[in-house]
Amino acid sequence: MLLDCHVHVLGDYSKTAREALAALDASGIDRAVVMSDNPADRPDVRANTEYVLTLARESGGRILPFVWLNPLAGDALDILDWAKDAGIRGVKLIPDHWFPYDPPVLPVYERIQALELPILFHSGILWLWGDTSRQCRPANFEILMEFPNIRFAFGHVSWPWTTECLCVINKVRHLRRQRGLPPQQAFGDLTPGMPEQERLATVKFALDFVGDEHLIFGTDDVVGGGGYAKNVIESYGKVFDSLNLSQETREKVWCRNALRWLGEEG
Amino acid sequence: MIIDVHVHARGKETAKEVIAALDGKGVDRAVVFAPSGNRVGAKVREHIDFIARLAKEAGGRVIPFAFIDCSYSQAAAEVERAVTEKGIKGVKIIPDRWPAWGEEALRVYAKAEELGIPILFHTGILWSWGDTSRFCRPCEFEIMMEYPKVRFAMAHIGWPWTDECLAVAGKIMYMRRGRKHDGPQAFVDLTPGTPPIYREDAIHKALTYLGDDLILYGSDSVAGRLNDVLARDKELFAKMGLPAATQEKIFSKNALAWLGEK
Repeated sequence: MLLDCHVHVLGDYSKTAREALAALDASGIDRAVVMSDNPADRPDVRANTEYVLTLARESGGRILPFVWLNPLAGDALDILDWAKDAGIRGVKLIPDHWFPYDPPVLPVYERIQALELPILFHSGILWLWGDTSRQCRPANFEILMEFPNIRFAFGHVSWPWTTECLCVINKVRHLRRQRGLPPQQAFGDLTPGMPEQERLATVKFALDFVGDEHLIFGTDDVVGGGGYAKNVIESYGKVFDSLNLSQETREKVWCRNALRWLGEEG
Repeated sequence: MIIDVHVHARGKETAKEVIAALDGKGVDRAVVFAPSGNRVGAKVREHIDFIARLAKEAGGRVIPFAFIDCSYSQAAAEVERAVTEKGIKGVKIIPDRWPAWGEEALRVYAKAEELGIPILFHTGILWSWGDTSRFCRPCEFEIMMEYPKVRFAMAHIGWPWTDECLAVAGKIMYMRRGRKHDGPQAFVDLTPGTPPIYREDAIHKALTYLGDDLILYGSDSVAGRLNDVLARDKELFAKMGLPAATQEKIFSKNALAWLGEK
C-alpha cells in the first residue's frame, strides 16, 4: 500500500472526489492526506476545510482530510473542536512569521493533543515571500516533546536542514525510550523540497541513523493532480532500489509509518 | 577576464602595489573593501576615502566597496556620501552581533536600493571573538526579498551552511520568476571559507541546484598580496570538467551582472 502524506488543494475547488481518486489511481497511490488551503491565502478556514471533508466523505476512506490552521488566529481552538467533530484527521501548520515554541502557540498544541490529532509541520526552506524560513528550522520544533501524545511530521525532511531534522527525530526517539514512551513521536516526511540529487544520501543517512520507523512518504502534489506524484514515487523507488531496501522497510516508508503517525496502527 | 569579488584592503596599500599583485596572479579586476567598519563609526569616513582614492589611482582595476557596520547610527548616511561623493560601487557588510533583519540594517538596505548598489554579505561561520556566527546564517538574509532591487552576494557559500545558502538563493531565484522581477538578486560568492574537503561538493551542488548564473569567484585576499585561490580553483574546475562558458560566468560575467555593469 502507498500513502501520500502531503497533498494540497491550492485554490482549485473544482475537483470531485471521483477525479481525486482517479488521479491517485493513475499514480498508484492508495490513500492520501489532503490539506485544506493555506489560511493566509483563504482566511475562511471552515469553508476551506469543508471541501476536504467532502472529498474525504466521498472517497471511501482513501482521502484523509487535514485542517490547515493559523494557530495565532483568535478562533483557532474553536476551529479545532469543530474540525475534529466534523471528521478531520490531522492538522497542518506552517510557522509563517511565528516560531514553533512561541507561547501563544502552546495552547493550540494542548488542544491538538487533547483531540488526539497528528500534525504535519512545514519545516525547511519556506517558499513564502521574504524572511520566513528561519522560523522553520527543525530544532525549533523540539518543544513538541512537551506534548508527548502528539505525533508530528517534519515536512520536506526539513531540507536544507536534513541532518538537523534527523538529529531532532533521533533525540526525541531516544529520550522517549528512556521514559518508557513509544519512540515514534517525530517523523520525517520525504516530500520534495529536497533536490533529487540529495535524496539517496539523505534516505541512506536517515535509515542508518534513526532506523526505518520514522520516515513517511509524501509528494506535495495537488489534489486531482496530473502526474507529479508519479514522478516523485519513481524517484524514491529508484533510491530504494539503489539502497537495496528490504520489502519490509519499503512498506514502512511507503505506508505503515504513516498509519502509525495517523493513529491507525499502534 | 577574471574578477575577484572578495579582496580586503588594510588601508596602507598603494595603487602600484595592488596592480602588481593583480597582475602577478592573473586577475583583471577586484572588488576591494575598505578597511573594516565598526559600530561607533571610527575612521569609517577615512577608510572610505582611502578605498575611493585607491580605486581612482588604479584606473578601473579596483572596484571600491565601503565596509559598513549597520549598527553604526550614521551608516546609511555614510553609504550615501560614499556613493554620491566618492564613487563607491557597493557595500560589504558583516552582521556582527546584530540580526540581518533588524531595523538598523533595514535602513542601510533601503539606502542601497535607492542608490542602486550591490551588497556583499559575510555569511557562514564568523571568525570574530565570541557569539557572532549565528547572525550570519544564510536564512537570516531572506529579508533582502523586501528590497528586490538590491543585488546581494552571500560570501563563503555560507559555509558550514552551504546547503542553506543554496536553498536561500534558490528560493529567491524561483520566487522572483513568479513576480517577474528583472534579473537575479541573490548571488553565491565561492570565496573560501570552505575547507578543501568540502569545496568540490559544495561547488558541484551549487551548480547543479542553481545553475551557473549566480556563482561568483572570490579569494579573500589582501589587496597588495593575493593568495593562490585562483590557481587552485582553476585546477578544481578543470578536474570537475566545468565547461569554458560556465567558468567564464563564474570568473567574470556573473560578477558584472551583480555589480550592475551589464
